[in-house]
Amino acid sequence: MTDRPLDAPTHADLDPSRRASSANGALRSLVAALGSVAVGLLVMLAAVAGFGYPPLIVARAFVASVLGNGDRIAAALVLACPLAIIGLAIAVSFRAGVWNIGGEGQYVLGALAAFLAAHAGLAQTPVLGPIVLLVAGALGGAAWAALAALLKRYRGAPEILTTILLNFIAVQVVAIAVHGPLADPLSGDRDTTASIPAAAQLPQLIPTAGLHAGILVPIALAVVAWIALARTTPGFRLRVVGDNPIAARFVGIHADRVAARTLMLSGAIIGLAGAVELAGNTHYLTAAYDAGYGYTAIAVALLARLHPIGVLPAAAFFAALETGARGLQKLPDEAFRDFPTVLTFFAQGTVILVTVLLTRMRISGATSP
Amino acid sequence: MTRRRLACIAGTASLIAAVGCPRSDSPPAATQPTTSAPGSVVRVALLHPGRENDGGWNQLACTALRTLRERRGVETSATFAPNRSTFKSDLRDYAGQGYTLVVCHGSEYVKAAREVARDFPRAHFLVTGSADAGEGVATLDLRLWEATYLCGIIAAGLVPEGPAGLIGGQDIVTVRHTMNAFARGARSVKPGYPTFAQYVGSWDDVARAQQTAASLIDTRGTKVLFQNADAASHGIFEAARKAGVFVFGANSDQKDALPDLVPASAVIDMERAFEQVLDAIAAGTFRDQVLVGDLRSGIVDAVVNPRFEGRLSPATRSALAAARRQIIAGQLDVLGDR
Repeated sequence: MTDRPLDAPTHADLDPSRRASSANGALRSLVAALGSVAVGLLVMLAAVAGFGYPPLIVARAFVASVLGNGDRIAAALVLACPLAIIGLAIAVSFRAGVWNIGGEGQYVLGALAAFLAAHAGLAQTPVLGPIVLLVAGALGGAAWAALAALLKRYRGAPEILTTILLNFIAVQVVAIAVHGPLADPLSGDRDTTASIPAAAQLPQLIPTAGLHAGILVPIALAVVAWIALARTTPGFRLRVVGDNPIAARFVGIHADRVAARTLMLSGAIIGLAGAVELAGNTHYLTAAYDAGYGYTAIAVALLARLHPIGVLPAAAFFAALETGARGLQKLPDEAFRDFPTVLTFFAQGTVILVTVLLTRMRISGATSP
Repeated sequence: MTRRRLACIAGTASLIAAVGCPRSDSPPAATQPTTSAPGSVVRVALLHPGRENDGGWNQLACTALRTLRERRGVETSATFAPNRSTFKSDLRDYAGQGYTLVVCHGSEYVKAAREVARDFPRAHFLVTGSADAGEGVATLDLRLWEATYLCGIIAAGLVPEGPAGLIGGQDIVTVRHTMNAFARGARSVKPGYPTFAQYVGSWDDVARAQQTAASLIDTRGTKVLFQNADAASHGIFEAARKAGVFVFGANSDQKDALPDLVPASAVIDMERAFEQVLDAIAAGTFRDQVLVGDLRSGIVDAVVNPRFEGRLSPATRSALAAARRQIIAGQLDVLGDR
């Protein structure tokens, strides 16, 4: 079956009544997501009370830990940055019915590729340096995702399995590289690499708070993805394949090819996240560089109901949860003395679980573009 | 359903509005740090990469912090911070709150601490388990391998034929050193003593650790184990209990895990280390240098389980005493050619 040209917006898409219905659907999605987050937070506070801590004081401290001052807001935004980029990549792949669970591996491989590129001559140039890193990161992530795409294409291996298995390999590849050839020669510890050159680092928007220019990447990507999904032919094909691959084939869309390209695109975006994090925040690799973003970002994408713009507030919400949880631990207040860290993770898990349960998202084609 | 959800939103919004405005006793905003002026309250913060109840490396630091609080009236705070992306923001947060000393418990924090220390020249930063001091960051080089060398001598004394299984959580330099020194200690009294080393690949995967230990016992005929795997060590203890083989503790005295099967532990006296650091800060002698915790300083040691005191042969006791003397005198490098 050939891949023949297909007009992007159909007559149905341009129909005003259809668009109004789509807007209503988006509003309903927003209300559902906000409602489930609210219920999740209430359950979290109930759990906190159940463990014997005063819920109102915990809530107050939690909010102060996230919004207490500019530095804390910046810290939450820095944390939200990779979550948003990876969440966006996962949302795009899920919209095409491609189950990319390999975010963790693509993220660390993207960071590794960016680190290697940081030592190329071109990366030592100001302005060009960070761009080289970001391109290298995207290529690294795409290459890692391509392995899963190839396995699916030629061996029929489902990507939901291969991507998750490739995560473990990628994490070990980075660990071996950091312990071995990439270990900082000036460090006796040999558990980290050297920092990347200053010219290859992303500019700091608020240096004292660590807020870097990479925070603009997910915003730009989300807008581009939204427009691409809603208003372009490739985006339309992607949505059709996600909604009904059989129907897609009947109208001449090569569903397998679209799925493979989407997986690689998703990997590229996730690799970009690794590069942004390296160039903007961490500046060096450690043997255990994986941070769980690849998995948390799935929850981010689901909470956003796979909407590219929705990913931004969803990522901010999860980042705020983690920042608030860490903030609680930092309080010297008597009320929080020996506050068990497991409780903060229990709280986060509760919110995620309730959110996912109540959102009742339809994974494929659940939302308007 | 929609109405119910809206009610939930309204309820939560009211709750957040009620609690959202920070009180005057809420966490202080980021301010310039203060050093420990005479009479002021000393504040110590700790970032640790693993769970505080892991029975090993992380629990060690958290317990020491609690002891400091009780003994010296120090104000303390500890944060579980395993995510590389938040290292700097956590460090900035603590330094900005004016903590006297920010302890980072593990070498993975070194570079982040160095970057942040530039912005907070009046705060004191200490990274444990590292020898990479500089740029405003002091490090505490904890040479636990000197104690594991002694444990190796005990192992060879108790099970002369071996073999010993050495299990690390992850393959990092400090853990590798403890395993290598254990093997060298055993071979110092029993040349050619067989050892098999494996890594769990995780600090907290109890099941995988148990499988790793069971595999060493079943396939290699291991009669004695040494482990340095933090929370994952619970699985190793369980495998040792089932097979009835000896298992050595690491980081803290772990004899209580299996009183009849833990002959000794290589321990770190983190309270003493922290107290020495606080004394140096108070005396104004704290610098961005490498502080050494070893047998000579008394910060690391091999602690024999009292139940095993009587089971150590005179030859083993003699070898232990001689090795201890030589290590303290600097005449014995327990790692040999690294």
